[in-house]
Amino acid sequence: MKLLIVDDSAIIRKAIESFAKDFPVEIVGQATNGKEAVDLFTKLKPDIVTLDITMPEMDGLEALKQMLKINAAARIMIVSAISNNQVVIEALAAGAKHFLTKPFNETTLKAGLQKIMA
Amino acid sequence: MLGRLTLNFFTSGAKSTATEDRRRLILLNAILGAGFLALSAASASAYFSRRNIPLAITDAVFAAFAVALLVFLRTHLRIRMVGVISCVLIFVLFNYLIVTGGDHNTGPLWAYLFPLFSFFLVGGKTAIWLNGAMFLAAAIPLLVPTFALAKYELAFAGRFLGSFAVLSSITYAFEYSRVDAQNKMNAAQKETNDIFNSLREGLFLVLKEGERYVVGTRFSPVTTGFLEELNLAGRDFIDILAHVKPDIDRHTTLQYLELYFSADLDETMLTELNPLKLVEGRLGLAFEFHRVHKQDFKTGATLGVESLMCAITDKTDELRLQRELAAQEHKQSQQMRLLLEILHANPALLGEFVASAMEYENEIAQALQNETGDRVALVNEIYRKVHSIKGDARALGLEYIGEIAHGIEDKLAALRKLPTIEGKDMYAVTIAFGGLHSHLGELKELLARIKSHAAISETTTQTPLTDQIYAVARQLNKSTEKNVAIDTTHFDEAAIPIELARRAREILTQLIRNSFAHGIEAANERAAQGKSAKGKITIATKVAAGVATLSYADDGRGLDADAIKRKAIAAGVLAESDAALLPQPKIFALIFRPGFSTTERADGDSGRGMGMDIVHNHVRAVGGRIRLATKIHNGVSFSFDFPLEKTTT
Repeated sequence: MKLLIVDDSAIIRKAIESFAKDFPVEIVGQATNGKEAVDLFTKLKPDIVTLDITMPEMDGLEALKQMLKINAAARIMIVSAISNNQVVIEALAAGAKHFLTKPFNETTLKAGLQKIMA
Repeated sequence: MLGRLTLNFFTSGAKSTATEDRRRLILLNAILGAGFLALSAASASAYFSRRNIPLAITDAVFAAFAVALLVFLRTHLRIRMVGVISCVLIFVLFNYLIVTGGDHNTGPLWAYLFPLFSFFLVGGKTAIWLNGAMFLAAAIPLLVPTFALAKYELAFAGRFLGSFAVLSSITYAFEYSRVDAQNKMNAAQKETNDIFNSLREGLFLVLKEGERYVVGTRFSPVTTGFLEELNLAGRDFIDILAHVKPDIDRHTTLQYLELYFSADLDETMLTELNPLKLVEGRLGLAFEFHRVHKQDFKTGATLGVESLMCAITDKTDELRLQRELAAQEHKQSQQMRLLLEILHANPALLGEFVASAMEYENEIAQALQNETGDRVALVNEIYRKVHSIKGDARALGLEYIGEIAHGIEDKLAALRKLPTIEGKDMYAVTIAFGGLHSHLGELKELLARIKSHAAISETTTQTPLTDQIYAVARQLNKSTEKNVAIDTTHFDEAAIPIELARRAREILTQLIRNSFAHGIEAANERAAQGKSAKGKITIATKVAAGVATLSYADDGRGLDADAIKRKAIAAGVLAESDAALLPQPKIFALIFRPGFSTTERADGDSGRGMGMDIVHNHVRAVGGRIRLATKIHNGVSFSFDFPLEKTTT
């Protein structure tokens, strides 16, 4: 399974990358904003995406909608702070498969990855 | 009552009765109705085709009984009574048929119906007794030929009685297990209801109807109170939420509920996102949702989400506690601030401040309590005292108390702007004053605690006035960023009688504050006028011929007669026509009027024109005299003469 990591924070990308190693996934790319994410999504055709909500250029919600327009079967996990819950609900309503609360730890992230790979 | 006769023949208004009775009622209706028709037909047939007149009459009599019972049943709804009477009549009829043999000796066959009738219509022990009686009543004519008109073979009698016993036993067993199951079900149902009705949570189902979410038909009793709505069943859930909290985000709430119906989304995750975790309306309500899955009854497998169970918990008390806790924390931090301020202040001066502030405060409290006549004068008096407290607090670095006093001044200043001051207007002052009172109390308590811990000696003798003057000046030098030196070379504290000390201190505090605020210019302005950058205040005393004179001078900008006139006109203290003619001493005297000030801005160090009014009051109270000399750009000087023999405090 191919995984695309989208987050504007390098630390978070790094964390997801290292925790994802325990899963049978191949990290095909990393994006730092919504626009880049949609471009990479089109090019690399990942099965799974972890997606930050607040990002420069294009926010996560818009990126999510565009990615699902390209491939409705993509399994996208929103990674966001709970304070954003209105946006997260919007994202789940738009077709995201799971939501991971920021800040996350190894256990919650792995549970999240498990969830979207199922 | 008679109206019931026309009700549906088979139900007979049965809706109003309990389940078990309803079943019997329907059965009785049917049996009595059918019995009446059958007996009438049998009577007619016995009479017309076979000329069996006794049978025809018996059938007709029982048909009449049946119709009478039917009418009674439908009008009075006495179900058990009619059941027992019917059974007794059937018992008599069947026995008659056995004794007479009926048509072609078929009479005994009817008796097979008796167990069914008795158990279904009456049931219980009565039915067992009735069956036993039927068995005996049938056995006598069947076995003893003298008691029967018909002739029965012994073999027939034996088989009949045996099969009757088996039939009634089976019927009894069937009825018993049915009633038992029914009772267990009723008990279970009652238990469920009891649990449901004693819930402290609001509990109901939210059903999806197209694009809408509606409340199910059952809800725990507290739900109506929580949602402030009696008719909940079938109502739009979002509408009801909007009733509880009008500014609810309908769009997000709808979307959120929709997510629950997407079975692949994790329920724990959804709980985290709940936008209705705390809905604050009249009450603080927490809404929680749980999926109710459709189930395949054969396999037990879950088949997607059927509805949502919604649980509401009242968090009002919790919320109140949280708020109280926050208020408590706020209070503690204020106390901490007060404590820090105390630690930075001179402990001896503090003690004195508290004593004099409390004294003022008592006077104000009394004045407020006995408030009757001249409210304007009262407001002015309170104003003077609060202003003094503020000044002293600021001078000691007790910013916190200073702020509170300043707040009260704001309220008083607003009152002074009113054309007339009503009694109710004084409430706000009284309340604000209560705040000051409690803070002064706290201050006193803190001070006492610090003293007991830190071994700060309680000074019974007053702090030297000179020290107090320097403390005030130090504080003002710091807060105004001016550089002013105090010269007390010719100040002899002993020259001021002890009973005048408090007044002298307040007069001097006020004057020093005025010098800092209005008199002494900023360094650059002073330089432009060829003055030294450092300002100077001179305080001196002199005693001669029974008069103690306290003199005070600064080297500031002096009083500006024109500015005072303009201000007095603006304040309505002076008529414009009089202004031109007013001699200069009288112009300067205007500054001692209540409410007069040449600075519009009211801040901590200067005021709203109350300072000189306080000074004037102190001097007047002891029959003293004020002399004033000033020259523009050359400072101002005051002399206060206190007659020594005529001093009061």
